[in-house]
Amino acid sequence: MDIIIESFKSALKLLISFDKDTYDIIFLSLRISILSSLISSIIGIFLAFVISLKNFPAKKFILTFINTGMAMPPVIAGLLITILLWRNGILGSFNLLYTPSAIIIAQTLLATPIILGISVSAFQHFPDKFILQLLGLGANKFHLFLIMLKECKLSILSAIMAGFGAVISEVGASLMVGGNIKGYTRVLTTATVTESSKGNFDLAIAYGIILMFITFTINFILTKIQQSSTKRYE
Amino acid sequence: MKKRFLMPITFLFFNFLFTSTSYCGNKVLILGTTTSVRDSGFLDKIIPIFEKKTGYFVKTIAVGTGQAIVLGKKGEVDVLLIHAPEEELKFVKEGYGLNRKTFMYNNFILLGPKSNPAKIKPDMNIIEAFKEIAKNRSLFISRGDNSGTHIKELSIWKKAGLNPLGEKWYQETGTGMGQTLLIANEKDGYTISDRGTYLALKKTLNNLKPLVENDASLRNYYSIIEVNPEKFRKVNKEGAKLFSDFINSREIKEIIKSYGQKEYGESLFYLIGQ
Amino acid sequence: MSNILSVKNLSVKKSNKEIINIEDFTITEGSITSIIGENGAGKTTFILTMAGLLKPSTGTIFFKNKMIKDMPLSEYRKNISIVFQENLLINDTVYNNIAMGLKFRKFHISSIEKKVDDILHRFKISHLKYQKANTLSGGEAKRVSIARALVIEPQILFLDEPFSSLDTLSKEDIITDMIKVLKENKITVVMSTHDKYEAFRLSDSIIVLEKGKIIQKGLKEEIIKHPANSFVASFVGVENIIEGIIIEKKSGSFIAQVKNKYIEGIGDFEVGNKVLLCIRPENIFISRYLSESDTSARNIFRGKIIEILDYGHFYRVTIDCGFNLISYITKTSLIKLSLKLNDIVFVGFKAMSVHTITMV
Repeated sequence: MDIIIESFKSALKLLISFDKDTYDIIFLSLRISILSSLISSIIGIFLAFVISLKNFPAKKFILTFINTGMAMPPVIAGLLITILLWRNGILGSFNLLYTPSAIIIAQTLLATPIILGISVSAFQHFPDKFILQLLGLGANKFHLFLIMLKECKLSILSAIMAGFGAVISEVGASLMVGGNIKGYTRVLTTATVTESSKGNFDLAIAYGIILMFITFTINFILTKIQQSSTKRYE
Repeated sequence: MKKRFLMPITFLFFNFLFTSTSYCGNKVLILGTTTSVRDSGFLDKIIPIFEKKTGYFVKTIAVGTGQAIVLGKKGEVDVLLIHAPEEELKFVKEGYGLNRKTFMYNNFILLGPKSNPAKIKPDMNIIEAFKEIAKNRSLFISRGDNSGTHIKELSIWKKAGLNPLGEKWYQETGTGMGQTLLIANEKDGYTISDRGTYLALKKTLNNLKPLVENDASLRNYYSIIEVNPEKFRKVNKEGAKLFSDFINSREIKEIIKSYGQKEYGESLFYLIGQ
Repeated sequence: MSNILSVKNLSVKKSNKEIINIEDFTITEGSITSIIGENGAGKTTFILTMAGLLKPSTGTIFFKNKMIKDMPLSEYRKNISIVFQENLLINDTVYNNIAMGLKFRKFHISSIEKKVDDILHRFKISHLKYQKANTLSGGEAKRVSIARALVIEPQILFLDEPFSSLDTLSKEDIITDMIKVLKENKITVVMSTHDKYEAFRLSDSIIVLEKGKIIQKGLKEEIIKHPANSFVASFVGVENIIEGIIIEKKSGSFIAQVKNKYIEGIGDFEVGNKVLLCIRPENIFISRYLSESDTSARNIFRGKIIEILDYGHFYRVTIDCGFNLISYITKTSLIKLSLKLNDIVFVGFKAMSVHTITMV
């Protein structure tokens, strides 16, 4: 119990004193996870729209594939990407291994199935008749997309929060493809691993607390957007 | 009111997203090392000096010893800083490494619970101690992760003519040194650790005490090996050589001698010949 | 009056099941046509296909004598608009809902507000302009839905059971406002409905759909007088639909047996045919004393009054004469005859008022 209280104190101290190492790690984590969530959201939501509207023979198979991808263990994704990015490997000439970009790629790979899967379900809930009504009023595919996005805001934002939550909190992929290099690819989660491996548990927990605080803040903002103008009763 | 702030906030936001933290540039050296080397903090001290001196950006990839060696064999790192002499010799013999230089050592110690059920005495040598533990079937916690520490531990069992693998009293954690010490502390087990990690965690390990310390068999030698550029085109041979020379320079030798004095009142590492 | 829409050999199949099969159907410009039929008859499929929202399996649709398959469906749809039973409004203001179609169809931005204000005024919902759609009552939301469909100035307006979820009073008001806009702009209307008042009030012609096929079409007077089947009969308000078998055929008329009584009707039917005899309740009179020679009615029966219901303007009286007959009589008549429950009375109707349908 003491260690938790101590950790809270450490966390506060690090934040208030603008400790350089800590802030480097925080901003790096935010940059990487926000960017990958952004990319995954764009890819995932757009693909979800296309998939939900079309009926093609392999649809059920593809949906099962996506839903399984949601459960992909991050460390395995990390391993696979590492092998691809090895400088003597297939994509080696891009020199991406052990860079923040590699982490972004890995996290995008992890978040996209999550956002895609939940968004497909959201769009499929949009009534067919409503689509016919909009088409009857002259809507084209783009109009349809914007309106479905707005009407399904609740679920789509849940999808984004789920994706973001998955990547900001994962450690396996970040560790493997990033290399956990201090000041360059060390993010909150990998820093927590390092510090606990060293035995600095209060610092490790402090990082953990900061991580939760950041996730809470971002989710708070997203939830505000999600819940706005959806009041059920006046 | 809200709409007016939207543009500048979006601009700042995207600016923030795309700023890179540090300049990577062309002079990059990939150093393969182990988690215990990283955890000792030694590299945090010397790498910045090297970077300032040479303008290189050093990517320290700290993994288990086994993985570090495999990365070396794949040419994914430029230089290795590890502590597993038998493996290192094989590595060089098979043509993967050049200019192996052993530059420092530290000591492993045998730690045990205050209750000391195997009745290990400080004047025992490590082989005797291991024999007693096995005879008594006392709980022994091993790292079991092919790390330098683990390899050292296995070599002692071998020298003692024992094979504890599979025995109920021999448990492998598969994790780092810090974790393993904590587990030994919790479960009243014996374990081998490097002195550095033990000293760093001493406060938390109120159930463990050092039992056998100054046996020569417990010495842990650190070497620097350049990865053979003939085998892999992409290896940065200039950088590797620079780093190897740097490690063996007088400046670093001074640092090694005094490392740990301030925090623990004793040296963590010793130069070869000390 | 030219034909604005016509349909030839239209067939829509889903998983090898044929939903509708329309051989020939035409709509004149500016007319209002109602489609009636039981649930599952194919009304919605028919409307969606004509609106260009569903691709038929085979067949041709002509819009102003041009085949619509010669153009992309989205191009054809620029001439139409549609309203469904559900209001399908987006979670936004009334204004933005109504302006939707105008924005989709790229009406000039400067004209949008004006057009929306105009239609809001015509449907008497100007006060709701900036209100959120999810706070509207059912009637208000329906007005918005219809306004949204009309503001884009379609040539044909399709409606699929648009008023099913409304009460009679709200319906009346909306229909009145809607008709004004329709007539002013000479909009052609095709509407499916379950409600006979809507069908009669609004439409010039009615078509009846059964199992995907048109089994009757014509002006409303025709449908009322000669309903094609029991569904249409009860739809148009025939309360008495009685099963019987033809037992005697005379020239131009017949005798049918119902239970152990006999009813005379007109028409050409064969002996042994099973038929449905339809008699409108207004055509059945009640009398205290009667003999055959006193009246030209061929069908006179004696029975007991088993129910009297007050329908406001008249009474609905049910008499059991071995089979039930329902009669509508005025309040005055009821009082004059002092009719009460369980009274024994005579009921009668002319052979001419029996409309007969062969049972299949």
